[in-house]
Amino acid sequence: MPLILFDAVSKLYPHGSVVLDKVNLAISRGEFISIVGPSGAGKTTLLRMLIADVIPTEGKVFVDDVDVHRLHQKELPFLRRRIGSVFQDYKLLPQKTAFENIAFVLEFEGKNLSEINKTTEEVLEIVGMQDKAKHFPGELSGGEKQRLAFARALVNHPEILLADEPTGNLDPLNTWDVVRLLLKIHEGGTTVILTSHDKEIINTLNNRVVTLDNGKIVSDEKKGRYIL
Amino acid sequence: MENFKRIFNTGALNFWRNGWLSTATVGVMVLTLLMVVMLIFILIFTYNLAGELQNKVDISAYFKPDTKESSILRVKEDLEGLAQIKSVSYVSQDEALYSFKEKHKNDPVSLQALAELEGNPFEASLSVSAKDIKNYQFINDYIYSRYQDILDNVNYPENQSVINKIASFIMGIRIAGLTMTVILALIALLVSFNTIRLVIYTSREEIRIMRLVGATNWFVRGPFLVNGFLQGVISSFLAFVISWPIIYYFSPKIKIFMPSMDFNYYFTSHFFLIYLILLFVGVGIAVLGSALAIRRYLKEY
Repeated sequence: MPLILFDAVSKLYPHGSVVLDKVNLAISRGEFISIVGPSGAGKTTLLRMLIADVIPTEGKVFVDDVDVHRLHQKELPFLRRRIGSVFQDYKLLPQKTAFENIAFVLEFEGKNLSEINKTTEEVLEIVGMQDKAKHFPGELSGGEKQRLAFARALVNHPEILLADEPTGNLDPLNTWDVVRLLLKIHEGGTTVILTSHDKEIINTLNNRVVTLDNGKIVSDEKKGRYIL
Repeated sequence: MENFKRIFNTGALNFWRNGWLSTATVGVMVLTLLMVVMLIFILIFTYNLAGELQNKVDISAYFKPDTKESSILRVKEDLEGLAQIKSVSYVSQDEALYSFKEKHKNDPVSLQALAELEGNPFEASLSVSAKDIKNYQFINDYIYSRYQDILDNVNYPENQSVINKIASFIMGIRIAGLTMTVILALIALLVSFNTIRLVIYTSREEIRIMRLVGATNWFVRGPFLVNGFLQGVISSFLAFVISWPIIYYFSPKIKIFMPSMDFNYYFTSHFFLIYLILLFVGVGIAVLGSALAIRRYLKEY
């Protein structure tokens, strides 16, 4: 039984553009999958459907056999806590410091103060941001924001990690740091879904690659390469 | 409890960090609450004005000269028992004569005319004040129907048109006061609500992010409500502190026109009540405004 299942999902916008067209995709627990394709292929939409940020026009999305889009609004936060998300535009809270951006996730999970402080400091150290703990996102570089976004996504040990173009805005050095981090997270048993259009990264990872083009899956290979 | 503390701290921290936005919102709220103070005093003013005019109106029932004082006092007692009547005062024939003489002591012609008459030409009377100006017709009819045998006349018909004019004027003052209060209160409310809505609108992306990373609606909403609460508390305090010297300055000026109207006395003697009203309205507007404004962003999937 797959951990995640996209069952014939389509997304159409009112003016007629088709973002996803009957996509079927099953992802097993512990898998590392890269979703590749040109800009506008539907990669981000697919990830957003998984956290119920986008509702499919047709089809269903399951996590552990639960239809994500049939969840009650009150149940949704608990699903989202199982999925750590690294967004393309980071989505950090501008009014909170780096420390608070991470601690926030633990706060609403109801952790006690000493646990929050300890875990947040540890995670900041893992991503090499301990000296920037009191900085606001506006005071951080692109690479630092990216690492902070990773730290927030990982702090509560999610079962699934979504990384949407995590290297898009980074220089080569930072890019490989992120790739190493993703592999480390995966080694810990987390299911990783990465979207990218960086050919070099995908080919180096040598994992399952699903290629999307014009909203359709055009290839799905166990040990895939970037084909477009 | 710990969660409540966290939400409160986050709200307070946001209030502090959004310094300019908080200041602007508090500024608008202070203006709204000053308007509330003004409305309270407009209402008191119109109420007192109407009351004072009403107090100036009464009617007198005159009794035949041979009526015994005890009969008139029985009528007085009967009238005092009526719910529509505020007060009844008895004016005996002697008192009527005395007060005429006092009133005309510098008018020798009137006094001479009085001296030429035999005995006391004045009738004993009851002066009746109604609780409401609209009750005079009823009182007039009541006295006529029950005491026709001893009654000479009631001066209501002669004064009826003046009483009616005063009655409609009083009604006008009350309606104008209330209408003004309602309109100004609505304007103040709309301005405050829209300011709060704009503040929350600027935070919509933040709200979305919090929800996307798994925060429950209460965890998202809580700090905004705390923020609103702080805005309400601070702005009500400021409005109270600002309105005091304003009232202190204008009170003597209003007193010149209406000696019975002492706003300063009213303010100091209702110190806590006025502050509580401001606190209640301020916190109410800010918290309710925030809750309503944030609702639409929490409804999104």
